[in-house]
Amino acid sequence: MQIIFGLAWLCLSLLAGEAVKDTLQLAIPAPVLAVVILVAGLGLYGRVPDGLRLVAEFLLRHMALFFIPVLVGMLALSDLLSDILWSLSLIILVSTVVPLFVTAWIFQKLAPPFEASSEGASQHETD
Amino acid sequence: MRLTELPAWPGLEGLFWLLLTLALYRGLSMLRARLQETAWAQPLIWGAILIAALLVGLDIELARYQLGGDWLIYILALSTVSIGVPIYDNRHVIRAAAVPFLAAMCVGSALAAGSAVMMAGLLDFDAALRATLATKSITSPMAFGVANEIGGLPVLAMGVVIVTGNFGVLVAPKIFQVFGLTDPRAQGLALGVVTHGIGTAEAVRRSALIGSFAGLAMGVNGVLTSLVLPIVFL
Repeated sequence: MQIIFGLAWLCLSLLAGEAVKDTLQLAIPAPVLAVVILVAGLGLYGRVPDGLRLVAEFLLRHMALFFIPVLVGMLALSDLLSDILWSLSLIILVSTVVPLFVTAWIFQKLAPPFEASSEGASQHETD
Repeated sequence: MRLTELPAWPGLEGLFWLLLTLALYRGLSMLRARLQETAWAQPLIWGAILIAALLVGLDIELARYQLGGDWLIYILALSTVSIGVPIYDNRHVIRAAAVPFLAAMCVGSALAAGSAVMMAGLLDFDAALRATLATKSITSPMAFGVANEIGGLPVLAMGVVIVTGNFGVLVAPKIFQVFGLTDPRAQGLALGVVTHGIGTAEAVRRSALIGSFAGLAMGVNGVLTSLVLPIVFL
């Protein structure tokens, strides 16, 4: 029964996301709006219901499974891919390595030293 | 993804492909555990390669696999929404370092998408391909939807995000080591922004702190970029 309620939370968020998207004619995917709505909803509710945590953890842990058919679907693009394979690989290489370095570097420069703000994080480990 | 359409009934053939996908995922997950969770052994990549090889080898149409495979794709929308739970869980973590967090995230995310789009322009890629690459710093289920909205190729967008994630996870430890980036929060943040779900999964295995920063960065970045991109591209 808990799982039903957990699924209901997710479906309701999606439903609200679709409704907002259609009403305001936004070019933002409904699932993205649904994430914002879910976080806001949890804020109002004050905690994560057990059923929702159960369902969400399952879905997040096994997300890779749901992607397999998407990746297989790239077969339909094999002509295009064979044309741009090398340039695409080069683009991915550069646009992965550079931001990895820059993002970590900026945070390390700007953030207070690690020990000072670690109490917020240790809280998470008890979740 | 329109949620109002009913999926086609998979039938005997579709159910076979669905079961095969589940079995491969399970088998490859067990294999990865055997191999000490090495980043090379992604069940997603190898599962997709094996199925694709089977389809090509036996000359089976993609549409027939998708009779079963589509059912898993419908669950993706729910998985995406689930990202809201870790974001809510970690709201204290971000509050403790909100400004550096947001600053590093915005620059990193803009750089990842911007450098990809700029190089695509230099290499004469067409508009659809450039729009596709613009989504590369969004977690893949969201990239799928955003690519759809801004005139990119959704399937390619997810493929690029997934490849980026796998590649990033392999090179990240070297980059952090060479440049002396030892703050676990900085590592988690970079992994979350650049390598998304795959990097986040990797980060969680290293430590809960790195993992919580990665998950949060992935979620917040995904939402913010999804909100901004349609404005830039339309």
